[in-house]
Amino acid sequence: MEEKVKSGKEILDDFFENIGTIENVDPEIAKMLNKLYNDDKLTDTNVKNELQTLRETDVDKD
Amino acid sequence: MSIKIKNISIKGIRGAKESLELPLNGRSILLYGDNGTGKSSISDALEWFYTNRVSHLSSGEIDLKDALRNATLTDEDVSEVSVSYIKGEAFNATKSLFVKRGKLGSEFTNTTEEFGKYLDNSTKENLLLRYQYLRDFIDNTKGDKLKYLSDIIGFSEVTKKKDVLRKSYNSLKTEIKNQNFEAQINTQKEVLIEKIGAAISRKEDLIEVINKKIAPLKTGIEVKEMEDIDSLLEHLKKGTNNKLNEELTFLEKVKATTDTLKSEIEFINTEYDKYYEEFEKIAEDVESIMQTFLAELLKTGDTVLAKKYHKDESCPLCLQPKNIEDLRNEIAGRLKEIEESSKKKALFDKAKQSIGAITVERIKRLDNLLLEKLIKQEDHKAIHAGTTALKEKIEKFQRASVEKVTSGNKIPNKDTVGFQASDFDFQSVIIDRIKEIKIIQEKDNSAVVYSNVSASKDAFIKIKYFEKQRIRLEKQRKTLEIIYNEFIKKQKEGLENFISTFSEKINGFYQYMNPDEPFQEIKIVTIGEDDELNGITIEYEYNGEWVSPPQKYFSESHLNCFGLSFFLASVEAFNDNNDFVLLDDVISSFDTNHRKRFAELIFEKFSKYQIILLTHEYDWFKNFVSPLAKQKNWIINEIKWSEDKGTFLDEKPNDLKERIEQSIAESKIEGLGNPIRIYLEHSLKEICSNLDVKVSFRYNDFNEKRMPDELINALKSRIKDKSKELKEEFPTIERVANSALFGNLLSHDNPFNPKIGDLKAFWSDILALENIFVCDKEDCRRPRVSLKNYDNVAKNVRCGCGQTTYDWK
Repeated sequence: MEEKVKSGKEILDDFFENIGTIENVDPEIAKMLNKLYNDDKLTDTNVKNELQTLRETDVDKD
Repeated sequence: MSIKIKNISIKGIRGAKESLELPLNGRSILLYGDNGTGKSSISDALEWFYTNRVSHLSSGEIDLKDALRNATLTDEDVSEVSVSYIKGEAFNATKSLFVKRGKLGSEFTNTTEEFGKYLDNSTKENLLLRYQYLRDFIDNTKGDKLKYLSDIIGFSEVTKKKDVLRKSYNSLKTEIKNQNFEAQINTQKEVLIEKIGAAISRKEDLIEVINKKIAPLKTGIEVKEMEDIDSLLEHLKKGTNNKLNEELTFLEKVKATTDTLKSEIEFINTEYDKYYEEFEKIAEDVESIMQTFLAELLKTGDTVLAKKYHKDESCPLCLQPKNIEDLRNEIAGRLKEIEESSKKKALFDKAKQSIGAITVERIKRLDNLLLEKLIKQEDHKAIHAGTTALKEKIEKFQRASVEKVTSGNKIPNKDTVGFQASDFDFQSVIIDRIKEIKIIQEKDNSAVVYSNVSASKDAFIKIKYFEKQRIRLEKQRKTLEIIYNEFIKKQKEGLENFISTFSEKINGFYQYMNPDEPFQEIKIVTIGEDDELNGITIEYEYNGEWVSPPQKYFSESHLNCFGLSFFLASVEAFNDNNDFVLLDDVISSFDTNHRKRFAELIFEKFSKYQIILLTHEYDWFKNFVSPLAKQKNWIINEIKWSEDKGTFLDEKPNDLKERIEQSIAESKIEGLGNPIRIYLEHSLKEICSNLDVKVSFRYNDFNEKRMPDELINALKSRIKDKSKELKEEFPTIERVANSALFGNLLSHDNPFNPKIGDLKAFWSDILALENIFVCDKEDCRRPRVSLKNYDNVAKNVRCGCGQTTYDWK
């Protein structure tokens, strides 16, 4: 086609690459999701565990 | 990559018994073959080569490998498909099918990672279209249509990632609900009110109240920071009964935890009740849940019917007589019911997950109490018993939450296991003991102050902790919500962008084949909400109204035109590696006008692609496509079948000669034995026929299979009797007969691997032999030396113009 249509993978790559630039998004969470995606480990269990870790890290900072 | 095919060679596959060569050299080819000549051997071979399957041989009753092999082959014969490429030489490969230890196995000669990747990518491309699959997309369900397109453009992966984000977002919402921060904070606020008379929320206020409380004790300590409270407590502890302090702290902790739980009676009971109701609903109709497991089977059954794998008017499973249309409607109805059951199951799963998480968290809190050192003391056995009873009660909820709904077991209802206020009656023991301690401590002001300061400090810290936890979780939930919504937006944009561009292309092709018809703006559209796309349908404008599905007004030809347009748009959209497509008899049900427009579309809009166009429509082939194909420098040929050769290409000698000479010029001699043998046989047969050379009688096919040596001997014998002049040409004729390569050619399909120099010399000898009997004058209309031109007066045999003449008595 004349106009390049993005494949599913391209849409995902773009989304996770720019996830940190989405307004009002916690940069730590954006970073974590980006890393899981790039490591091909983006599963709900992994996200849940990472969110828990981030909350605990937050507590440590207090 | 813009890969085109240089050569396809098929041997022992389907109808092709001997080697069937398609020397394309990147050019398109138009192949005519009557029904039954086995032209689909080419599409079958190519489909198998790329996908390891052949769609019309995909029934469970058919052993694909067995069906692929030519039926006349023996176990020793190897079936092969060889494909070589232009702009993709590294991918040249042969896929063979052979018998090994009584079983059919297959393998590729090219085992490189690069080739594996190419093959994998090509599997996803649209390389082949057969007539019977033209309507596949149209006949698919809306969900399957979405899945089909989603798979091609990789949207299934997008959907998976979307699900991960949605689940993560939901798990945060569940966590917030399960923690019930409100109840926990309220309990601690009550402690503050009791101990210091106010539910203060600021650290400064707490410090101020504590300083006021300790002022009469004249400790000399002023609390400025939270850490100072610990020093104060240490100081106060010295003058108090430490054991009583510890016991009081323990009792107040138990009271606070059980108070929170008590405040959650309604919350927990309601959540359990919701779960119980969902459980009952499902348990009463386990059958419908069991049906959800049949969904895949029914979908597969519908696909079998839609794709016409099963053509009889019967159920493909039980084979009972049944109208196919009725059966498909029945399946659609059952799938709809199953969809309802799936929704019920989703509600049940949600309630189950909620009660599960709630019980885990409460058991954890009670376990914390049961780990307390003092709870094990004889004095507190009532507290121990009460706490243990609470835990057991929650464990009943938990057990119910893991009960399998399909087990047939019942779970207790809320009235049986639900929390009641009386479950907390043992708190009176705690309260009484706290009172006793306070009475004792009343005599000792330090002890009262110690107790109040200590408890209020703990309550304050806990409130702050719960608040922070709640804020963190809320913050994470908000972030995940934003991310999820943004993801949905991007997914929708991507899909819409794809669909609109794709629709435009389909409509363009369709309108080209159907100009001036009332079906306008044909497009594919999504069905469903933003975050839950559940299908794709096709619609078009007809007399000012939008119509869907297309079957409503489309004729057979229109539906097939849509199928073709869809395929061609897919080729342009998705084929990144290959610039070739094979179209197998795709215009069979088209009327004359649509056939004409289709051919024009292919030649005009698809000239960039290498097309392998197979047809059994003779008139279309002969009168319409062949002239266009000739203009565009396509190869045009016919496929035939004989019992002896199986499917073979009826290559014209001139094309064969051109191919042989090109291969020799490029020093590519692999597989050249067969074409040279065919050419020599053809040439000798023509010479012998023209000179009325007699050979022994043979039946039918054996007559066709005359060996060159037999023909040369008969020719020489005839010349010996008839022509002195031609006899002088014997050395030229014998050079062919005596060539070392000649013997190798006597066996049909003999593996033939000569050196290029020998081959050039042999080919040159064949041409020299041929030239004896062909006039070299350009304007000679009948250049073959033939008895048809026999001069009775001069007793000469000659060509049409008479320049090439030999005596002939």
